[in-house]
Amino acid sequence: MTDRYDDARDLVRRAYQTDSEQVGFDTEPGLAEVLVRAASPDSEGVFSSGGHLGDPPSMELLERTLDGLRENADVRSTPAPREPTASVKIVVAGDSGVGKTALIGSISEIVPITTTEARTTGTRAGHDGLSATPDEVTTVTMDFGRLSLRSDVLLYLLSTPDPFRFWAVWEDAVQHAIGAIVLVDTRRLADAFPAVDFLESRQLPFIVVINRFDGILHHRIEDVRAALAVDDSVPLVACDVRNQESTRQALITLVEHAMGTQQIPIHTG
Amino acid sequence: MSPLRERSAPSGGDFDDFASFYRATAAQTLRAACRMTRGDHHLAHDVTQDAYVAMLRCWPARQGISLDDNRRYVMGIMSNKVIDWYRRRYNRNVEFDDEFDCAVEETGLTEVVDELSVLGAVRNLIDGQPARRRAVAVLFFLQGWGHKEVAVTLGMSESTVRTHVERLRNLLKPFIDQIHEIDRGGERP
Repeated sequence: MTDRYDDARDLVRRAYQTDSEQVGFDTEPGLAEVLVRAASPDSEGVFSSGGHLGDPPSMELLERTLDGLRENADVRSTPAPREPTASVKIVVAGDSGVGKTALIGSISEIVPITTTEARTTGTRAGHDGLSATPDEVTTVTMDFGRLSLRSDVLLYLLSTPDPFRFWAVWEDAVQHAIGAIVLVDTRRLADAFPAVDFLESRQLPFIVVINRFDGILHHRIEDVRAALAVDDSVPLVACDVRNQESTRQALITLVEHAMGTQQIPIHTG
Repeated sequence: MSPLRERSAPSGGDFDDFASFYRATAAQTLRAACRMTRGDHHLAHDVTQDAYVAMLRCWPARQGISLDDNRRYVMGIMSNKVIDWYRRRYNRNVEFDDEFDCAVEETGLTEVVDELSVLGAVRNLIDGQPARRRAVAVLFFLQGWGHKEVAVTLGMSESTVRTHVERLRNLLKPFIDQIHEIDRGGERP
């Protein structure tokens, strides 16, 4: 069946089919950008919030976040929280295959959104020292999770991509974050150096979380601190990132640390 | 150990997760945005990404809805962001495109000699329209939407959409005749 607009539609479609200026579009970086924007408190002007490398987070906001994380009643039997009135972002940094996806997945209320790429197609395939980890696919861009706290705060969790390929994304990811977790695998500690260096240079409060792969802590925490050369004031904790309670405790440690630091942000660039 | 919040899981279907939806639709949305922004790729990229951010925020309510419906929904968000951008930029209080025909760039129809020229002139014609009518052109003629869908998406009355469509069709009519002539192998006098 035809209608009176068919001719015009055909013409317009032909006009644009012959348009030589085609749009190049790389989907995975595009998706990563959407996740970064979505986790930014000011992305839609919906929430009043703060964070480092922007306005410092208010102590009141950090306290609400901490209260929400500490609350541990069975939410299945309680009403859903009211509409969030503020949002905060925590960045999960670390090298590929260290467990960032699992950490976010263990606590996010939504199925985490993950941009992935098969390792065999990655540029670091074969020379990234990942033989010690069993994953078939590693996250090369980022993960996005969300947690509605009953203190009316929406907590976004955003993991960072491979630093050697996506430094620009790191810069965007830490904007307005209240803090970061550096997740480490003690079998390849040196891979954590870029994340530690980056966060120290941005003066973003962070803690180091040692992923207890298979429930085993292979090194003493103080040995890890010495190897990473992080300041004594930076908390180091061990965590089973697959376990929600373990992840929750790590987040609580980070927020407490952020409250204790309240550093003055340094604007770069 | 009690969970902090109960996880909302996908309800089934290939595009229930946001990442799959984005991968399946973003390129098309971006192309439409480029049409609406007259080839301004930076603006098109920006409004497209913002549209998906908005979509992500309401995804718990949208997942489980058909891919086509969600595609139209995000296209609508993007279209309105384009219109808002032009409205802010030009700070117009009067919606010219609802009431008046704006000046259309000289398309050089009399000098058109071949198909590519005609089709290029059609693009120029649409690019020369005000933002709202351009959005109608892209959604109605290029995406093939109906009057009602366009009206709901762009927040216009259906009669306003019909007016835009008719004006566009009248503007396109000489080009339709011309392209038919070329398709038939005829030559211009």
